[in-house]
Amino acid sequence: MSGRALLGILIAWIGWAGGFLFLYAVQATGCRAGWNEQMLGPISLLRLLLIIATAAIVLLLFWLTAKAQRDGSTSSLARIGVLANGAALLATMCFTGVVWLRLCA
Amino acid sequence: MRQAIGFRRVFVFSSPLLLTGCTGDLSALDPAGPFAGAIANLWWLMLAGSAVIFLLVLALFLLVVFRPGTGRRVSPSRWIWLGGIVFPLVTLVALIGHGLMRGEYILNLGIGGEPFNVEARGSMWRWDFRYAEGVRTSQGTLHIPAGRTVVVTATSNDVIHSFWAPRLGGKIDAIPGHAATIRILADRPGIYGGVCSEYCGTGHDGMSFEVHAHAQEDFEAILAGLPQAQEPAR
Amino acid sequence: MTQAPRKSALRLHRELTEIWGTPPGWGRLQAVNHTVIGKRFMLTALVFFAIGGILAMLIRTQLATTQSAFLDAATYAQVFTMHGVVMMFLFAIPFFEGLAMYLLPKMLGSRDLAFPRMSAYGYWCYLFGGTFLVGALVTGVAPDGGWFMYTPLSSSTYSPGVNADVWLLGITFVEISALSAAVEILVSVLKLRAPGMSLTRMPIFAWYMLIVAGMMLIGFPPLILGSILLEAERAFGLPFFDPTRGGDPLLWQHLFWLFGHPEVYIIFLPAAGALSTIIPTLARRPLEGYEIVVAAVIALAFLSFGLWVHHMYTVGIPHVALSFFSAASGLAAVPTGVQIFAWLATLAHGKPRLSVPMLHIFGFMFVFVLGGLTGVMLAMVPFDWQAHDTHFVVAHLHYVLVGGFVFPMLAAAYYWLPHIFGRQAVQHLSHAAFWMIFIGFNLTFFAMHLTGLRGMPRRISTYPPEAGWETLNFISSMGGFIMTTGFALVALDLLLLAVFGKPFRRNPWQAGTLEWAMPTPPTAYAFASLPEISARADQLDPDRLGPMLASGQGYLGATRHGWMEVIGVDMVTGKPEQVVVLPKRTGLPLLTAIATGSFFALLLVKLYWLAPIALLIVAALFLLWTRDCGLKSDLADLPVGHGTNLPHHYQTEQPPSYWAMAFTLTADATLFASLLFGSLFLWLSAPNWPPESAIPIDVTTSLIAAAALVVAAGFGRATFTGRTERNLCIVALAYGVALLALGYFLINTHGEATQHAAMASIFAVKTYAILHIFVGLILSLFCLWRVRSGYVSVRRDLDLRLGRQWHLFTLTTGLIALAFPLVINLLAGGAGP
Repeated sequence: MSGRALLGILIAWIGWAGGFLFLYAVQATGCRAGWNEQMLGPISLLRLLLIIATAAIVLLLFWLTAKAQRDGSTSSLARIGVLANGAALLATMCFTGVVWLRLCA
Repeated sequence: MRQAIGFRRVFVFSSPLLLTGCTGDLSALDPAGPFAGAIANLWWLMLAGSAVIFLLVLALFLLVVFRPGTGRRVSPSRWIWLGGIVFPLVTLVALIGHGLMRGEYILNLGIGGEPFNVEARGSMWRWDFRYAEGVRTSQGTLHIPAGRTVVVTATSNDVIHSFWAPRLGGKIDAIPGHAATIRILADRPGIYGGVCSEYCGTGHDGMSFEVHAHAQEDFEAILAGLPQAQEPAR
Repeated sequence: MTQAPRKSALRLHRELTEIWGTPPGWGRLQAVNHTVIGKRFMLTALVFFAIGGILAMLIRTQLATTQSAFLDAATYAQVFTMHGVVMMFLFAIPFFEGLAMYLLPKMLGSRDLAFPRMSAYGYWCYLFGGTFLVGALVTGVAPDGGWFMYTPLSSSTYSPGVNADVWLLGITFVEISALSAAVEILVSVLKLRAPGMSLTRMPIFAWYMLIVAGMMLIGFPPLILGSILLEAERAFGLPFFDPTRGGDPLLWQHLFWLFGHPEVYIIFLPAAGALSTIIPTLARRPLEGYEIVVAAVIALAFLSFGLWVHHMYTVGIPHVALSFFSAASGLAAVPTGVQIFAWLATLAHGKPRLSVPMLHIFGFMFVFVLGGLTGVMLAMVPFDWQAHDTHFVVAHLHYVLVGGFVFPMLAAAYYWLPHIFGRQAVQHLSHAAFWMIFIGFNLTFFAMHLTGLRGMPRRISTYPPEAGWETLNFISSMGGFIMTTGFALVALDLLLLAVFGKPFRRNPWQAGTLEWAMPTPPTAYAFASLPEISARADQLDPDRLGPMLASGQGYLGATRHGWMEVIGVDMVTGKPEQVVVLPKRTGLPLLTAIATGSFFALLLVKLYWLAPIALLIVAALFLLWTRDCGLKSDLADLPVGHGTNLPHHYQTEQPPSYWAMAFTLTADATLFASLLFGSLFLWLSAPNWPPESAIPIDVTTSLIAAAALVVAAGFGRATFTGRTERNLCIVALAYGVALLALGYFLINTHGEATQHAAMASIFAVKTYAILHIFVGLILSLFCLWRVRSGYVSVRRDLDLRLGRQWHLFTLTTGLIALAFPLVINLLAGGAGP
């Protein structure tokens, strides 16, 4: 149970790190496979995938944060958890470039 | 190849002026085209912003240490939230957005029609340039048309080098097995300095080159006058 | 058994010193005590700092004038490479490790770290590895490819000499000490605290070190992997980084910077932790925003892993990918800002004392904020296209590292040296020394920003007069000499403090942390008895607590069987749950480090057939360590005072070693994940893919090995029953089968591994599996021996549970490794078996 309380303050950031790697991997794979040139209407397949992935990551982090805070504890550790998880959510800002920046070299 | 090449402009200025000024044949702060110019502007903007922030933080520190009590009117959590979160977050989001926009601008800007393509191939310790799909070559001097975007594709025969003509644009690493591109542009005909900026062994110091920008109308002739390539381009 | 009647403080002191102390003379080589090891780490690091400083002076002498003939290009390359290597790997990291080792048990109200022998082993590895590197410098074969050793310049084609091997082997050797310190710190902070000290009552420094240790656990494995792969390429021709054979120089850059950037924060955060401790004391007010600072440090820890590519903006990565890293780099300034404003708020609401540490805190503020600002500039992609690899970056990184590490550590030195020596500063030279360092530093590096923007690349040894860089460089060099004189003055000042300082009674800074609630200089056992903590442990009263603890009124205020006892607590709540009995001082760490060193030395002199023998000796020595561990009969709970009885740690669910294994496996998993991602990266990015020849897939051996691993994990159970011995025999047998099957595969395919990076990565993944199977085999035999010798019972099943962790890990990674050739085959376009 101790371990879980500790994990609760890191969980959203772990999700952020996983999401970060995933997006980077999708972008690199997509460029190699040429998904950036398959157009689906106004945007390319790769951009669509990246946008969907980003949205999924944000939702995942919301879910993880909510789950970590579910027991409603008001202990000091729980408050640290709220701050840390909130910061991770805010840091998904890093991914907004998928909407508009050049996808492949 | 240890030639002191490409430092012509320097003779115009005396050294005290150089110390205060930002000019120089390799100075990124003395842009000679829109790419280097966009980056130099970004630098001056960030310099001004940084100076303000630095003075602010330092003043706050000196204030709270030497005038105890003055900072007490603001509650601790307000100190932290305003100074540590709200202010940097707003500033940084604006700056990062601006930086990315400027990057996108530099990556896509085409001036003077279709970009002119050239390959820069680094090897220990010299630069070879290939033009027109590898038909023409030059060594140590890159010839480009003035007023037209040039896409430099950098690669290497041996170790990693880096192509950098500071007054014309940013740098790009020349990595064996890879071909990465960068855009440069010289507004006016002239001679501009360039160096290798990634450490590449004991000859790193001397691995400089010159960029000769020629007027559009002369350029075809210059290109035609360059030697033919010995081997076809890869 | 009841707690012995209260003894006099002096008698308790004698008894405890007998148990915990380090004997003089040759006995010093057996030292495992955290105070001794911590001081050794710091002192050794300072010696390396001096060496690195001398190298810096050589650089500045060379660059002071144009066309300097002071050093030739080849020597200069060794000098600048070793300056970086020494400062990063041999000064900064070991120094804060030493500080943490020295301080943590004292701040947490414990008597030692969880694995004292590991700290000693880590120290010897560091000392030998560092000596190895510096020895290479003296003999003129030091690494010369820059401290980040980019391939292919560091590959055997372009660096045929032994220089690059010195880097790869020496650094890996030193990193052993960093990883062992990381595990040690994590477990010690989480498990060995004073009763009642919950996580959120910990002094803030412990939070910082907890997070830093976690970062080291994840950050170092990529570097270690990169070093192993590059050494494998250099020694055995496995072409991971060779573009002509499907390798990629960029793989090295990714692996290096995946370590290298978190590394900067790994260095900064302990210093920030020290500041978060010192500033509140000097401001006479507890740290403001304790919780938000902890959250900020967590955020910084994760962000720091999301910005490694900002060292690689110029390699041609697409803009959208750069934007992730650029944004993360920029955002890292926010949690840093939180800390800075928490310190300002503390000062604003306190009554700051002007003192020598405060002077250095001013130095920190001035220098580090500037470094942070240029850091944000460099995070902007277009600006970095210009500034990358110029002296602007050199200036920036020195502002960050000197501002973020050296100035705080100087403050820390003036703050904690009274603790180490029991003497207070006399302060004759302190101010002059500070101003010389401060002015000298800014002269050196402020000018350097402009030198860089005016086009001076890094690492050039000469420049022509026409470049117009001479004046700026001359200013930098003069500043450098002033700064060096300043450091010499600090050294003299601290020496004077140690010798002539005036002794003090207790707690000279009126701090509220536990390290001052003990005699100074500290005794080997730190606390004669352990305190009960019921408030945040930076708001205690050492003046009241100290005498109380010294007279044995806390927990464990009596000795028992000559055991080195500390209390183990629940990780989160701090509720006492076990008596941890630490192993005695021994010469084994030294011997093991010598054996480890000989392994690396054999690799360096290319006696590859002898190296595995050295490795076996290392394994055998490590097995000898366990002689002191364990119990041969079940014990009743032990009284620890205050009417509390606690079980011996061998009879509990989660003793320190349980967590140590879990954390070690976390680092191990990171290494494995880096290897897998690295291989996939080659498929994505490297030229000359797919390989021309078929990728070897041996279905039969793979299936046999997989089945054997499943059997091993199935029978390697955690609970002790009558069938345990039989089960362990089956486990050992199964591992033996897996070893043979995989070994057969490796021997058959090792020739192809040099042909193409695809085969090389399969070879590496399988070698990883085979090493784990081999360790599993040893572990299962070890468990068998422990069961036979009576160390294991239903209540004492720790050995089995540690083995269980290993078996499950080996199963998971082993199955992935066995399936890996299929994945590569699929990706590379189906060149089937």
